[in-house]
Amino acid sequence: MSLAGVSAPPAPPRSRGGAGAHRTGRRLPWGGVLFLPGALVIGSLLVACLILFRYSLNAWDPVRTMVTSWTGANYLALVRDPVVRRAFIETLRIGVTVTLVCLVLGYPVAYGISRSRKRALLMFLLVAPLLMDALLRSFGWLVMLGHHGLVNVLLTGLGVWASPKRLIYTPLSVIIEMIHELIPFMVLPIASVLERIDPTLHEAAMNLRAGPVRAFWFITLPLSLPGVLAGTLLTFALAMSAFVAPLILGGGNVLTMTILIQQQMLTTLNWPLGSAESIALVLVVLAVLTAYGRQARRIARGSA
Amino acid sequence: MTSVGRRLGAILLGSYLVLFFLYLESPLLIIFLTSFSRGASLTFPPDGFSLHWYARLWDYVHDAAGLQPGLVASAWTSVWLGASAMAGSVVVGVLVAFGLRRYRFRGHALVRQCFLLPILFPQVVIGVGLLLWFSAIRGVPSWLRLVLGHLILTLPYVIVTAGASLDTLDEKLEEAAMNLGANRLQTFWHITLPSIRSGIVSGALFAWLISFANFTVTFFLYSGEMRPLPVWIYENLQRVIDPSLAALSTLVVLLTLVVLLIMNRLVALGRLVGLRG
Repeated sequence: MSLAGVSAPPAPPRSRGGAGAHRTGRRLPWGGVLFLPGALVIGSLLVACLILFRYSLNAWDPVRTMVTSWTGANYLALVRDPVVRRAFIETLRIGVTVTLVCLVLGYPVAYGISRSRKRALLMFLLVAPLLMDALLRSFGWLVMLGHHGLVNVLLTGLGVWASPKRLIYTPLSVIIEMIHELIPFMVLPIASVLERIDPTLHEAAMNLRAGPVRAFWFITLPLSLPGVLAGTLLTFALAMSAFVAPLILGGGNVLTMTILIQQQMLTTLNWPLGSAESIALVLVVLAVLTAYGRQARRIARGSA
Repeated sequence: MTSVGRRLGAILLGSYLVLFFLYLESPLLIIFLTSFSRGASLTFPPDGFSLHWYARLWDYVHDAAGLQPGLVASAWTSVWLGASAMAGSVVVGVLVAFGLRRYRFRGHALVRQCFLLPILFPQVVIGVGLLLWFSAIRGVPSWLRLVLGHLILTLPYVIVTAGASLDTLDEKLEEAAMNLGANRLQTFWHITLPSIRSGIVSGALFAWLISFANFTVTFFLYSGEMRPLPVWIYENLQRVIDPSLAALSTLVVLLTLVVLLIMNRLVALGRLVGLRG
């Protein structure tokens, strides 16, 4: 979950002169001590990544497992190995589907929240599921999508389906769970942009005899596009790194990059290839996140 | 015409919002309903009403024969792990948030980004990275692995909440204290900390929740004797799924909800995500 980047309020302007000045800037060498414990914690994540990078250059042998060396074979395998390629395509396919559905379903929600008087309540309802155990949400979907679950009962009852369908342990159930899990990340940036659009613009358009639909299409929608872009990038990045949904609802039938990494690390014990896959995943996700961060900052500055 | 159209639009949007939030909360509602079912199968609608799956939970607590053991130990592990990650990230995070506000320096934005990075970083990679590192150096007790993993995850949330509180704090208060002869440390302890109390408490609760609810990183770092609750639930999901798991989940959801409501009172969740709440 991303509370931070969604749109952190910019720091208030600081007084440069007068009483405040002697505390700014100059004393950083000592002030740096404040960051030391934090740097140790975040530094350990960096160390973990460096170890993954080093291991990704090692060779692998089925008997001796990891063999120390300097080779790029694992990165070549990322491109050539049909299993890795299939997992990558599957991850992309799920990620794109989830992001698009989130956008279509989420935009009206963001619009509704930005216009609502009960915004605080709606925000709570939107964010609360994010802080629930991811496993419990997947468990809930396991129950709902089961053979006698709500979805099958409802759709057969309404006559849409002749008989209950097998939904769990399919890519479809993974996609359904991930839409549910990630849609708040689409809604939040869009809502925060929509809420800043001056309502008089919409009214001016209406006064000029544009209907509500035209006013929305030509005024509100274009102005909200920065939020749409931010939400799309954020949702996609998170969809690429999702793990619980493919693990629980995929039930071994859905091979995403994260599941492949888990298998290499814990089952086949091919650490070098698993490390290369991890590094590749991080690079892809960070690239998308960087684009998202730039977009979020642009929104926060109001220049988008 | 326009006013009719507008009202129709509002009704449509309103009903869509109601449907959406029903959908959003539905997995938790279903778990809640299932936990009171009479039969052992997970059907909808639940067949009858009973509390016996909660009674069954009591059997788990007593490690009755034939059931997966260790529920109580797992629950304690989770509570304790959450408390450790919380304590650690509050101390470390408040210092970082304070430093980020007080000092302007080159690369300030980048440093802030780095501290917030774990929020969006792929958790699988955090998990496997730490796993490989710890197996390389050996001898790291499993509690320490878990605490470090969770500290990485929870730290950014404390930095965000404490930082949001610090942003609303009037610097003139601190300046006044310094002008009256308080030194830097006294000012920090007697003025700054008490003024951002609500931010710190909500950051602490946030940290505890993130740790308590985390599965992915935990999954790669747990060991036989240190098995936090989500891992226990996962292992049960691999076995027979019966409504007792729904009963347990309901209790966990209720606990989470209570913590969330307290947090929401302190700092509106909407404000933390940059909306005007």
